[in-house]
Amino acid sequence: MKVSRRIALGLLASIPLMGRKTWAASGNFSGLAAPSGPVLLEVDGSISRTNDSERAVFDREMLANLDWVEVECYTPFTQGLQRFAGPTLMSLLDTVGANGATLQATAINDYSVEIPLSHAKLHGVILAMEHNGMPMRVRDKGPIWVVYPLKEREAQSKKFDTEMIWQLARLTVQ
Amino acid sequence: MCCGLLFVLVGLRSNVREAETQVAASISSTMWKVSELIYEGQRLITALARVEGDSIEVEALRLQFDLLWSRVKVVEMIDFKHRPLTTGALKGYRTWLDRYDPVLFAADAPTRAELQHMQVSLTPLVVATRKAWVREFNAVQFDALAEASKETQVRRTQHELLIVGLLVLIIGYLVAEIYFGSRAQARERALRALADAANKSKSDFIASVSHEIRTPLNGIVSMASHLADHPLNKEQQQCVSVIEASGGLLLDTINDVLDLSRIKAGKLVITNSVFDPFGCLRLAHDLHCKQATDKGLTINLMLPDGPLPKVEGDERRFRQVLHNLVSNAVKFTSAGHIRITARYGTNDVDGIAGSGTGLYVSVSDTGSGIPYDSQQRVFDPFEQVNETMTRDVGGTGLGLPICRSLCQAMGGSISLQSEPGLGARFDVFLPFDRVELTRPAYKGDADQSDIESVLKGRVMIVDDTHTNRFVLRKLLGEHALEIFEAESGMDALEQLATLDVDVVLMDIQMPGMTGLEATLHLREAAALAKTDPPPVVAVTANVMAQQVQSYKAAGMVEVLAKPVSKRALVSTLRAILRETGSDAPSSFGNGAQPPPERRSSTG
Repeated sequence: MKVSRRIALGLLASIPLMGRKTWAASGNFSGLAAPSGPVLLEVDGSISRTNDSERAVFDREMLANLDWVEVECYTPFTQGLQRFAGPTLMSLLDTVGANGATLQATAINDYSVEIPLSHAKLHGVILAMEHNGMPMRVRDKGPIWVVYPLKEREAQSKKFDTEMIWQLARLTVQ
Repeated sequence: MCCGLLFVLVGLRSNVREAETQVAASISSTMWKVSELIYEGQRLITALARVEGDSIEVEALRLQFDLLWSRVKVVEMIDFKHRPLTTGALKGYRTWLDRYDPVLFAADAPTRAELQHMQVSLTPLVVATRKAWVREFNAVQFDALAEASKETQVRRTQHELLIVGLLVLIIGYLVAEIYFGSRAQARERALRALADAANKSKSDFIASVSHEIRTPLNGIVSMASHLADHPLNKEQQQCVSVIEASGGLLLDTINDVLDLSRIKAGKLVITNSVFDPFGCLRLAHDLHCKQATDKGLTINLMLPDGPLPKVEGDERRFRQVLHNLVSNAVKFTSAGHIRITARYGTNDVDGIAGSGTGLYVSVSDTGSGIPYDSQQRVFDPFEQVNETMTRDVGGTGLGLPICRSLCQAMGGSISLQSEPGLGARFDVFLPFDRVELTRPAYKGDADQSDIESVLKGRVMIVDDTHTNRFVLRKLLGEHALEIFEAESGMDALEQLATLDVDVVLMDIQMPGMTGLEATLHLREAAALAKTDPPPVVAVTANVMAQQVQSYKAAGMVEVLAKPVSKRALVSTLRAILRETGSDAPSSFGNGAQPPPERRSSTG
């Protein structure tokens, strides 16, 4: 697994703080900027920063401005080494001021799973938006695929098979 | 090997469980993926149907199209192997998607007719997928399970083969172990038999040598003993004393070898009598004095002042220990002195053998001493501390082991203290009971008085050696005995057929008929004639334990070991003659004459 990172503009002040079992976001608590393009992801639940009533919504540009990383890794749903790019889940949680222990992740087709919030930091989870250099369409498990950067053996053992939800549309912090 | 088998079994069980879990998960996952495919297909059909009545929502249709596309891609990754219906249905999806992708995602919105056509063409695909799923997957779930677990079965077979192989190896090992074990046992039995035979040969050899040495020794010692009873001048007495002592020493050496055999056989017998241990010490001193003086050594005997007690114990064994220690001291000392000390009392010195009341004897020398690392081994049989030195001074290496065994048999102990290069000291403790001087005269004195009284009776001496017959006759010469001689067992039987005697002194090892056979014949003849056979006393050099037992078993009443001491001979005869009444004043008189053809004489 290989990770390369570029510092997202405007997020230099976004420093993660690890809690005991929960996560508390840092930064100011003013509202987020409103998306200018189509909304790809909405975040609600126990968050402190919003831009649409009780929720925070993100378009592609806003997500691209988070802590964007590129990883080379394996997944249980692909064959061979894959290259993914997208913001880290941790940077998203920091941005919205998430304060909870679990994420309820829901796909476009309403498929839903629970992800422990601690995985974001512990396993370097990313919200993959590009696959092998190409933006991910819905047909390619896009526009957002929750990817755990795994080693080949981990992928073969179906590790985090359940948590790696694709076509992600909504995150609820609980 | 058993561990290996256990490991394989545990591994197999674990693998099987893991494989079953994987197969179950795979089935569940496949069912889910196919179910999702059908679900998304159905949702797209619904969306397309809704278009017919409402306005066209192209983005929603495109999203649903892409969702179906993604489900098709997921299902395409599944290896359906021999499921033609499902595989065909999936190919239909791919064709359908490729056909309508440019239609739906074209710059211009699709027409209603195109959408209707999409709906019409997608519906049979979804239906066919459901049918294929029900028939090929759901209905043959267990086949799929078996198929999916094929690899596991292969691994299981491999493991089972491995188990069988290990079992075969274990069985082979056990069989080999039993086979080679039994062979080893047989070999051990054969070797033991050989060792027993060798041991028996050794015993026979010892008995034979013992006999060969004792016979001439019998003549030497007995004659010296007899000579000592005659009036002699001082020089003659000294000569006789040396002959007696030397003979005794030689006898002791023979006995050493025999003793080791007895000790090893656990048949060492301790015979207690009252004796003067300090007299024994003086004798030991005198015996070795000349040899020590010849080597330029001084040998000192240091005894306590005042009256010295007599003790009750095994005199012969005590003398044996003493001679061994003093002899060793003289052998291994080239300059300086040898000191023998003795006292009767309790132990008041730390570090020496023994605790309690008894006789303490110490023999020390200024010889080469014994190395520290050899001091524990000197009491082990056949251990020679310094082979070169042992060769120089002679000896079998049996002396100290015999000493220790004898001391232990007498309830005592022996210990060694030695400083290499400075000398050695052996301390002996023997818990002999002290005999008060006021006690009545002990058995030895009684025997002495017995010797002095005159025996009467008729005695036959049976021995093929003239010297031995002569010695016995001389030893009994002072007594009023009528003595007959026979040169062999057969000769004795012939004479005794017509001759009554009170006792027969029978040699054992004789040519023709042995003394043992002669005794048996004598008893048989007496039984036929319904008379009592004369008591037979074995007079022999063959006095190993099992030999003595065989004499007694043949009916011999007593056994006298050659060389025969005058005291033992007279004492034995007196006891027998008293028992038969021949020694009584009223027994057969001196006037009873033997038949003229018999060789006889009156002692």
